Amino acid sequence: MDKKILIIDDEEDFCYFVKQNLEAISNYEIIIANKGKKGIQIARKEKPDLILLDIMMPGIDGFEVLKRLKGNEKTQRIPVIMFTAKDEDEAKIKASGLYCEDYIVKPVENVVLRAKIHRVLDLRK
Amino acid sequence: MKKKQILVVEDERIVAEDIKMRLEKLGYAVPGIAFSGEEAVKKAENMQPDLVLMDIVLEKKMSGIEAASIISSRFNIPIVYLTAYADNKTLERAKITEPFGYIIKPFEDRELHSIIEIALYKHTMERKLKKAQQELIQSEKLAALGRFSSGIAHEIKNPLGVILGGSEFLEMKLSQTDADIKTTIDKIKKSTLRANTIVEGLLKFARPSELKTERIKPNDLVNETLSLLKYRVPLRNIKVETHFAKEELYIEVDKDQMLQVFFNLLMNAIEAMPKGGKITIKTYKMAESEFSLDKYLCVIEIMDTGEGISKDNLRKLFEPFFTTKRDKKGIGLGLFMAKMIANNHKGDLVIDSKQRKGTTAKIILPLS
Repeated sequence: MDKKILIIDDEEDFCYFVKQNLEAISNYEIIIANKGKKGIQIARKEKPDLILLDIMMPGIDGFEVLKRLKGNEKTQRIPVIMFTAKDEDEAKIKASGLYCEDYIVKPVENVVLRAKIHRVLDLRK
Repeated sequence: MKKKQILVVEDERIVAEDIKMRLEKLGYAVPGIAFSGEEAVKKAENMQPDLVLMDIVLEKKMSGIEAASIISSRFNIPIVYLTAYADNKTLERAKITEPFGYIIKPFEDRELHSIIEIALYKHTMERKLKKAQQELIQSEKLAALGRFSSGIAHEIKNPLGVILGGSEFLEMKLSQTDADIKTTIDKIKKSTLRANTIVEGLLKFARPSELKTERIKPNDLVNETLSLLKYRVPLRNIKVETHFAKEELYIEVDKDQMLQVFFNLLMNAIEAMPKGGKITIKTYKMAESEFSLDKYLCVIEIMDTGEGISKDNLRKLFEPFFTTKRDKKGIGLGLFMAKMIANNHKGDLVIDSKQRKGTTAKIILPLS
């Protein structure tokens, strides 16, 4: 079965290219949510195999989304890779006691993006 | 220690010679005597003495006060006045030039000695105070700039992500059909990554990360940098020589950050010698200042025999985004960051250079 990946990021163009780039080389099914709340709803409904989550978003930010995902039975086991723009975000996540599988610092090259996704999905096999 | 140089300005030759002799007896060096105000200004400029002993009343056109005023404002050399009589009017005029002391003739050696020592000490302290003030202003400015850059950097990274993602998508779709398209996309990607490097640099500077210090030997640090360097760049016809301090020195530093500083300085040295040359690295112990001989600092010196830096560029060396390597993709944050890292360790980075002779960088750190 094809893997389902949910991208939660308010930067629409960025999501568009991540989707294009991933779909071009794999059979992933990509779902996009441009808002945190919407992302959580979709995650609960669709139960994706992986979530790519941006930190800086208007409304509820990535930290809060991560907290809610990990605090809900339906979504707590879904691996999450965070998109960050700066290293200090990483420190903040660690300090918050929340857990995510990996980080990707923007802008990201395709090879890095694919490698990280593969690694996280492989670990779940 | 090097003897303090004193320029004597006195229009009576016999008196001048007598003062010279007495100063030398007290352990000072007198590189010259000036017999007029004009000569004093010229000699002060050429010799850059540590102090000028100035007769207030001089025979020729320029008075001692005028000469002193020029010397202290232009060359920042402390002045001690020498006078046989001091009417209030003259003293008032002399005061405006902010002298570091007065000696009334005739005087004893003891008086001469103590007034000169006080003046030298006062001048050193004033200079230190001024430097500290400037550093404070600078650090406040940098903090403000840091907050600003952090915000901007974050905003820029998102569109960069889109540009990179977009060009990689086009690359996948189009590059097999047309070589020109592939070249163009390559260039877009490279530029995007370069812009990202600049932004990363800004972020690094915006958030001076917390120091994770450990107690290490500077010699070990140098050796580690050298072995790292050999993996990354071919040294070709560059010889590297090390002269390590014999005694065991220790410094308390963030190793990663310090490696970055050494690496940066060594890369600069290598790039300054495209036709080859020699890099000499020394580590040694240095007294903190001439007035506190019991406090020591550790110096790591990196000297090259490269093309050197012009006086003009030397002044701008530590400014962020100043680079002479635009063509080699330098972004001008290397030395700026290196100095900041040294400063964060309560140390400093100073660079001295002579064109066509070479450059010497000194990292000065507190001993642990």
